[in-house]
Parts: sequence; structure tokens; C-alpha cells
Amino acid sequence: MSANAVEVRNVSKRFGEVHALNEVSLTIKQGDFFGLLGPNGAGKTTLMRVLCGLLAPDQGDVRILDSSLERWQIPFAVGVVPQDIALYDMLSARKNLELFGKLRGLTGKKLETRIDFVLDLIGLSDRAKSRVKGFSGGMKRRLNLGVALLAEPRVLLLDEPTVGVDPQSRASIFELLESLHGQGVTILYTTHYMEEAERLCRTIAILDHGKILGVGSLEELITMVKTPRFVRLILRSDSEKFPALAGVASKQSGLRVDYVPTSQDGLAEILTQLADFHGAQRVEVVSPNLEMLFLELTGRELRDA
Amino acid sequence: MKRVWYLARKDVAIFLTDPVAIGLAFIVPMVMILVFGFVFGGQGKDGLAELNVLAVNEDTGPGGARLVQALDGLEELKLIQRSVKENTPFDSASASALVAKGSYSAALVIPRDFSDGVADGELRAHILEDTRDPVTAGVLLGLMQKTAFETFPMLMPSAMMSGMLDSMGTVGFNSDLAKAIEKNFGVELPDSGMSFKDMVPRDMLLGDAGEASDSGSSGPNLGAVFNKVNQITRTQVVGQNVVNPAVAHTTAGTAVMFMLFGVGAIAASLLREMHTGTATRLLLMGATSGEILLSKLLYAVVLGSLQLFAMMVYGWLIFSLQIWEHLTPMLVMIVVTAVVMSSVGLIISALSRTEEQAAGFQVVIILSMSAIGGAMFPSFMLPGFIKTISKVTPVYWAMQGFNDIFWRNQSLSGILLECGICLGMAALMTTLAVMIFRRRLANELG
Ligand SMILES: Nc1ncnc2c1ncn2[C@@H]1O[C@H](COP(=O)(O)OP(=O)(O)O)[C@@H](O)[C@H]1O
Ligand SMILES: [Mg+2]
Repeated sequence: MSANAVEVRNVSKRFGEVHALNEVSLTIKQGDFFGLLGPNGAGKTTLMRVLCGLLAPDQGDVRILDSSLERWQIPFAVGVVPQDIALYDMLSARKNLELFGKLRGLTGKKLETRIDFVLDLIGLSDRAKSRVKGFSGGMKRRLNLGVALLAEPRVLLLDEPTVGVDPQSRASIFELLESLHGQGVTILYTTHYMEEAERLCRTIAILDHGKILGVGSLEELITMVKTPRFVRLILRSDSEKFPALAGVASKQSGLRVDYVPTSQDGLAEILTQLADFHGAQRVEVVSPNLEMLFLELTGRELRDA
Repeated sequence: MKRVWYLARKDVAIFLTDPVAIGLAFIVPMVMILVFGFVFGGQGKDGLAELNVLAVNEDTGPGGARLVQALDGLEELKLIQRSVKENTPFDSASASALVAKGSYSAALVIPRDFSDGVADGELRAHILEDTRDPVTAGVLLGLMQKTAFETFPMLMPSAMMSGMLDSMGTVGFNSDLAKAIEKNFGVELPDSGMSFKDMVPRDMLLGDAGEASDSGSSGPNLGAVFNKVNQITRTQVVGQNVVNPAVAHTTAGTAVMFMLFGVGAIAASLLREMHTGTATRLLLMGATSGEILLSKLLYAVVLGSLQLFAMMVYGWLIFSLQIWEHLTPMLVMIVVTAVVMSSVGLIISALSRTEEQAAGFQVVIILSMSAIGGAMFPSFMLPGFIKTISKVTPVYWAMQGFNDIFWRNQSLSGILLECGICLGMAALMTTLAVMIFRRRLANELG
């Protein structure tokens, strides 16, 4: 078995005029926590569906755990968490898990133990008998994830698993995924939240308009950012006039004023000069981040793309 | 294939969480059967709240009084034994006159030898009825039998002993009556070599349709099971020619029609699964598109069979539909009907993209099929060319099957043709639906 859990080679998929995927190639190593970051419409879900065998690409091919996919035949060791909450509302959490577990080929004692285990993992043991209908968004998300864990996957594909959840559920999902990663599960995680990718993922790919714009660890990607560190001043109110600093370019948008020094040595200088200014709510040094990389690569901001 | 079972059970479980759906599947058709039953079967009078019937007790022994007392204790019946004006008990002549006048729909006449009959293991009674209201007479008959067996338990072993089997097929049809029906409906069936009289429901022939027979003990053949014990005769005092074969038909027809509505719901459940992404997940967890569709079929068949059976039991309760006499062929026909109607639902599911479309298809298909296929009206009442068209609808063959069973008294071998045609149609439609659905999944999920 090769060291790669997932291989995507030169995959393209068009829907009419839309290039949902444009010659995408990716390699995900065994045990990696891989983030696919991209705005809405980037092609994340399309790639997921190609990976699951739900969608045949126009060209290229994918391999998961060294097997190329037959249509609709996902290997047993691969768990998939779809972007939609794909659960039966009128059935209880346990009944949902039971149905999907049986379909996956689990039966009898093994199924029961797995269900109990998963319910515990996603923190829904005490709500096992309640109908999903009455669950909060976060609980549904957790159960949606739980279904994929029934078959003890070695590879977990998650499509935006935290959309519409409360911070508490989000934290517990993160914790769960990190512990699974700690146990050697390979994870592919798609998201349009930069913070999620930065916080969770060892490797991140940036996807936009069906194209991979960059792949690497967070550190590697950051080195690609051209914008240097700069100082950001947040004004107390818009009646405040921000101080102009000699030899430093400044740019205001709303309450935000960015001072970009000509060299990194200039940072300390700027901070000292601003120390006397009392109209500031906050002064901070902004380091290069994925947001900037995305902006530089696409000319758009990730959050409004 | 085990997965088909898991998936179908899921749908049943979901159905059971929906009281409205359950109500629509089981309660509404019951009400409709009642309504159609009255429409086709004459006026409902006071409905079933409390039926007023005349009672004449001519028994010389104590048995008659006990029966009257027991019947009078029932909520469903009000026995009227004395004339208010003259304050005298009715006799069979005055009772008959009142039924003929239309004041009452039925009268129970307990003959002089009733007690002797009980001692001999025979239940002898005579019902005078207005055929325009078979409901009252039917209910009276049913209640009377039930009450009699409770009041005189010694009749029971006799009923068992008399053998259900040998009473089958010994029914002598009254040829005068048959002629009257033929004349009345203007029906001839030369192609099948079958006379219309063969199609008349037996319970309409319970009595000697000609003149009133006043002998309680030598009446013609009655219901099949308690054939030898039940020496009950019925006389159609008025409207001898108004034969009403509608009861069996109304029940089966309404049930089939409503089953189509229920079955159409599988389209909705499938579309919901496609829209919520659960269908995708089923595929991801190892189910195939064929299995998903077959599970819907299985679910609809189970539900439809239960629904049909419930309607038949209901028909038995209120119209004395002879379901127990025909249990085996009826059950077979119920399942076969559920299979073919469910496959209609499957086609609707495979063809419609939205729930609105499904609902539209459903109404069109159901109403046209029910009307043309003979669920609403017996197909022999339909004009000639429609009769020809109706043969391509599964409803027609399902109704033929039920008519064969209830009207022509056919056993299992007598409905093989209908079963075969229904199952053939079902196989065709299911295959087609699976093909369409598979392509659709590939396009829509892909
Ligand atoms: N079944 C489809 N038919 C037509 N267009 C589609 C279909 N699925 C996705 N697209 C288009 O492909 C692009 C990528 O969509 P998607 O993969 O869902 O993006 P993401 O998941 O990153 O938000 C979008 O422009 C979307 O409108
Ligand atoms: Mg998406």
C-alpha cells in the first residue's frame, strides 16, 4: 500500500459553461489532516462527489486507499460526511445510525456496540431515543458526522461539517476530529472558513473556480504571501482623525487604518509613534495569513468571494 | 436484498410517526366507503347511529323473546315491536306492509318454530327488507347472527360441524332474479359465455327474490359459512328488481382507489429523500438505486395490503361483505392488487421531479384509472369503447379479481388470470421505473 490515502489526478468536471473542477490534482498522505479551502462555488463539493464516486469526472481519475472507484462503490474504510444534513428527521438518532449501519453491512452485537460507541463520541448518548427533528443544528451536524464513523473509517471525507452550528458544537466537532486524526485517521476537510483550515489542517489546498491555487502546510502557504507584516489601527470612532506618519504608506477603510512599512524594521517604529495616539481603540500587528494569500491570488477576499 | 428490507422498514417507521398520513390511509377511505355505499345502495336513512327495525316475535317457545331482548339491548338497533296507534304487536303481514310503504327498511320475523330450531341447532329467522336500503337489512342480519350465537351458544358447535367446505358451490341461483338483473342492467356477456347472473353477489341472493316465503325452516341457501345453521330468509318486500350489487364493488373499488392515493405517497417520500440528500447517503452507505426503489415498492405493498384488508373488514362490518368465506382468494388478490398499484406509484415516482409534479400525475392517473378501470363504477356499466380501454389499466384487472371473488364466488384458481395479468403489469412497470430512476440518479446526483 502506498503512503497516499487519496490521489486525484488531473480531474475536470464541467456543468454546462461552469468549470466546477479544472484539472485538479491532489495527493493526501496517510494520516494527514488535509484542508480544502475555498469560497462558495469553488468546486469543493464537486470534488467530494467525484471522490465518493457519486459523480463521474469528465477527465482524470481518483484513487482512495489504492483502489480506483467503481461508481457508487465507496470502500468500506472510507467515511463520508455530506454537506447536507442527510438524516431522517422523523426517526430517532439511534434508528438513523441503525439504518445506515445495517446498510453498511454491520449487524447484531457489532452494530449495537458501534452505535453506542459513536453516540458517546458525538455526545448524543442521552438523546439517542429522541427524534432528530427536535435536534439543534449542532446536534444534527454531530449526528451527520456520526453516521460516517459507524464503519471505523481509515479515511474520512468531510464537506463543510460545521455550517450552521453553535460554537460549542463546533468545538466538540473539532475536538473529535483531532482525536480521530491522533488515532491515525486520514481526514479531508473542506471549508470556506480560513480560521478552521488554519486551526485544524496540516496541509491546506486553496481552491477557487475549480482550480487549485496553492497547496502546502500553513507555514509554506504563508511564505507565499507577498504582503509583509503591517500595523493595523482601529479608530475609536470615525470622527477621529488618524495620524499620518512620515515615510509610511497608510490606507483607511472605515475605522481600519493599515500602516505598511517599507521594511520589516519599520514595524517597531510605527508602533512607537502610534503609542501616543489616544483615538485608537486597538493597535495590532497583522501577520500574513491565508486571507491575504487568497486576496493576492484571486484579487478577491475569501469571505465575500 | 436484505437492504431492501431495511429500507422498507425505515419507510414504515416514518409512516407510523405521521398520524395524519395514517388517518388519510385508513380513516378517509372508510368514510368514503360509507358514503359511496349509501349513494349506490340507496338512502342511508338515519345512518348507522341507530337503526330502526321492526320485530315480530311469533315464537311459541321462550327463545324468540330472549333473542329480541338481547337484540334490543344493542346500541346499534332499535326494535319496534308494537304499533303506536293501535298498541298491538306487529305480525308479519303488518310488518311487511310497513316495509313496503317505506316506513321502515327492514323487519325481523322470528318464526313460530324458532325455539325448536335452536334445539335442533338451527337458527331460523326471516328478514323482510327494502332493497333500496341493503345496509339496514345487512346490519340487522349481521347483528342478529352475532347475537344469536352469543345468546344460544349451542348453535356454535353445530355451525362448526356443518362444515364450511361442503356449503361452498352449492348455491342455487334464482334464475328469475338473474333474468331480472340482466334486464335491469342490460348486460350480456356472450364472449365469456358467462351469464350476468354469475356476477351477482351472493349476498344479494340471500333470499328468495320472488315472493315472500313465510317458511323459516326451508329457506334457500344463505351465507356460506353458517349455511346449514342459519335458516334465515330474506324477502325483498319492495324493489324486487332493484338488485344492488354495489356493496362488494363499492368496498373493493373505494379501497383500490384510495390505495392508489396512498401508494402515490411513495413518490413524495422518494423525492424528499432526493432533495434532503438522504438518498445520496443511502447510496454512499452501500444501497443501490434499484434497492432504494424496490424498498419503496415493498413498503407500498405492505401498506397497501394492510389498507385493502382493513377496508374489506370494514365492508364486512357494515355491509356484511362476505370476506371470511372468500378469505384465501381475497388475501391473494389483495396482495396482488397492492403489488400492481404500488408499481403504478413507482412509475409516478420515477417520472416526477418535484412533489407538485408527483401530486399532479397522481391525481390524473388515479382518477382516470379509477373511472376507466372500474373502481368507481363497475366496468359493465361503462360505455363500450371505454370498456375496451379499461382493459389496459391494472385497476380493471384488480377489480375483475375482486368481482370474481365476491360476485362469482371464485376460488383461487378462478382468479389466476387476473393475478397473472396484474403481476405481469407490475413487473413491466417496476422494471421501467428502475431503469428510469437509475438514469435519473446518475444525472441528478451526478
Ligand atoms: N449538478 C450541478 N449542475 C450544475 N452546476 C453545478 C452542479 N453542481 C455544482 N455546480 C456548479 O459548480 C460550481 C461548484 O459548485 P460546488 O462544488 O457545489 O462548490 P462548493 O461546494 O465549493 O460551494 C458552482 O458554480 C455550482 O453552481
Ligand atoms: Mg459545497
